[in-house]
Amino acid sequence: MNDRFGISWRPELAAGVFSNQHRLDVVEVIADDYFDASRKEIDALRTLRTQLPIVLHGIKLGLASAAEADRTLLDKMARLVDLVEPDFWSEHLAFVRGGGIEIGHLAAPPRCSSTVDGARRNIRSAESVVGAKLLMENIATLIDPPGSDRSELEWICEILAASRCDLLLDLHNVHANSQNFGFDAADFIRRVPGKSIAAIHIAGGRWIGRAAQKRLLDDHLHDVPDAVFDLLEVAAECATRPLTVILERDGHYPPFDDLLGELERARTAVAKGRRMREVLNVTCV
Amino acid sequence: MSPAFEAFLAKIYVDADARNRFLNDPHTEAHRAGLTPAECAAAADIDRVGLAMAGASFEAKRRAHKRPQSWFERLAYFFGGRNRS
Amino acid sequence: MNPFDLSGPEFLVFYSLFSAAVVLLIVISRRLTEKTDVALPRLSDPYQIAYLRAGNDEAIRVAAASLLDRKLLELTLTGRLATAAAAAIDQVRRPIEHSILSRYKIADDVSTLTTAPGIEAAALGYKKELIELGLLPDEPTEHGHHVVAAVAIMLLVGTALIKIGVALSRGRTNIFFLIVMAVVANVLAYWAATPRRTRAGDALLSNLKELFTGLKMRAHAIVPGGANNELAFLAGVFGLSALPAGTFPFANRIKPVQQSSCGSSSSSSCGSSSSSCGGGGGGGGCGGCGS
Repeated sequence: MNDRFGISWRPELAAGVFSNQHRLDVVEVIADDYFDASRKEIDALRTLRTQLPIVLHGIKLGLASAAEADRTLLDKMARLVDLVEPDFWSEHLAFVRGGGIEIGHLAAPPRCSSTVDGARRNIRSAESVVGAKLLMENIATLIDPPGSDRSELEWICEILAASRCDLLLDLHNVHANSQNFGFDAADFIRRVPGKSIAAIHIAGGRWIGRAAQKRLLDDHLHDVPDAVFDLLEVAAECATRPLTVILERDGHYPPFDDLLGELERARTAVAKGRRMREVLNVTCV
Repeated sequence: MSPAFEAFLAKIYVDADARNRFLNDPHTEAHRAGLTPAECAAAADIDRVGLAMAGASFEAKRRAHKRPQSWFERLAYFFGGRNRS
Repeated sequence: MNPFDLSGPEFLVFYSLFSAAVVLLIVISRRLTEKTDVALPRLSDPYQIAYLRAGNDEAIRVAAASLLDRKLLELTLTGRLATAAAAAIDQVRRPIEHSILSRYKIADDVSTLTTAPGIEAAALGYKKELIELGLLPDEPTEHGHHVVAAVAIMLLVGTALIKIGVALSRGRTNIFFLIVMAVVANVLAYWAATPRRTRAGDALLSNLKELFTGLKMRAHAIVPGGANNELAFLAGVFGLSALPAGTFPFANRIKPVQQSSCGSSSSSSCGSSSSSCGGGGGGGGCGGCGS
């Protein structure tokens, strides 16, 4: 299986990425950073694409909402996808604004029929405007989304079925939510339709809050924990398609060799999961 | 749940004063926001620990992503624009 | 109407427009004949980028700076370079690094860095690569450039000389401004006609500066030791002057003593132009996918 392994593009990692292209298969670029980019900035991104395949990752569309997606932002994404020609583009199963108020980051919407319908409409609209199929990523949340009448797994599966989009499975987000709200992360992954898993994010986080009320925050500022690599094996068992695995790191950067080490560990985990699939003829969902 | 419910959530996630008022009297604040009875009930049942953490986390991220003002924006502010974004 | 019959001030206006037109013609012809889209290989060698930016000497200096940062090369207080240990040579893989460390097995003055034949030869390998990639002009193209420059200069000098002759024949001796303008015009025309890089090379360098703007903005935070190759890329893309002197004091000692004006030789170093430090894509990242 031609699984690919890469890292998120950050200016701080530019030298490391360029020096170690032979150890990377892809880089993930935050699309929103380029929504209002000048021609010069776009040309630079296109040069990066000559070095490594690029995937674009959006954070401001807020597609998993009962409200309609912002057309201006969709147009900006469309323009960027046209100019940069990424291998794929992705967004989040989140809402980011409401009533004219910008939350400033990704928030888990109520998991109910209105947001399933909203997500379906918005994903179809987004794919139509941008002209390219979309991958949707599960998010981590510190708050159990109010107004929910179904589990996260049920909600995600309904959206995938209704919109026929693919899943960017963020394993640390699954891990964080499983720790915060008490469910089995490996079981969660096994119940996600394996054929819909097209890409994977791995990252790290930290515990916050007082002793009895600690929750795991997905902050992308820490090393990937062992539990996430274990989940990666499970995901590789279940996924029926080649995977693009991206290591996300947004700060507190260790030496680049350490990040490459995490990617090597990811390769090993995926290879192990693939072997388990073959040997045990694993079927998930 | 309607877009109005998401708007209400956005408000209490972002506005600390609104969040505190809500935590003191969830039903009244939800009703005042024009939510349906079911939405009011859902709001009142909110994960309070998570709400506090989420509010703080969103505030931290908004601060982290706030871009520095351009020289033009600083000039505009100096000469009379008190409406900072 | 005969422009040579124009009065002095009027002719200066005419000559400035004429010179601008000649330079513009050179620029336009270059745009029409040179493409910017070339197939790029992996740009993982910062010394290759340094060569593209500013030639042989610069590639050598950036390589030396990287070796000094990684403590494979040492620079004494008396300005002598010396390979840190015999085993240092085994720790490098690039020919230019190998040649530097081999040369300075016996300590020598830092001024020999860019004149040592073995090191120069290793650096020249980059020129060949960059020419094959279409990022530096090949010999026939350079010859073409010089022909264009010669024609432009003949036109500009010829026009000025004719006017000077006409002026002198009419007893007018106030030709100083015309001479100055002719010199400036000829320098500009020569500069426009004989670029160091191809358009593709210019475009690539500009894009690399944009991609590495973030690195330049946080130059002060670069940790010495070369673990992430950050010094090499920072210096390769922007020049040794981008290295913070406090963190990398050796940088000032291996920089050229003074920046020469841009010469005609393709291997001369014209210094680096630094891009603005504003903007640049790649913000703070996702920041964690959720609250």
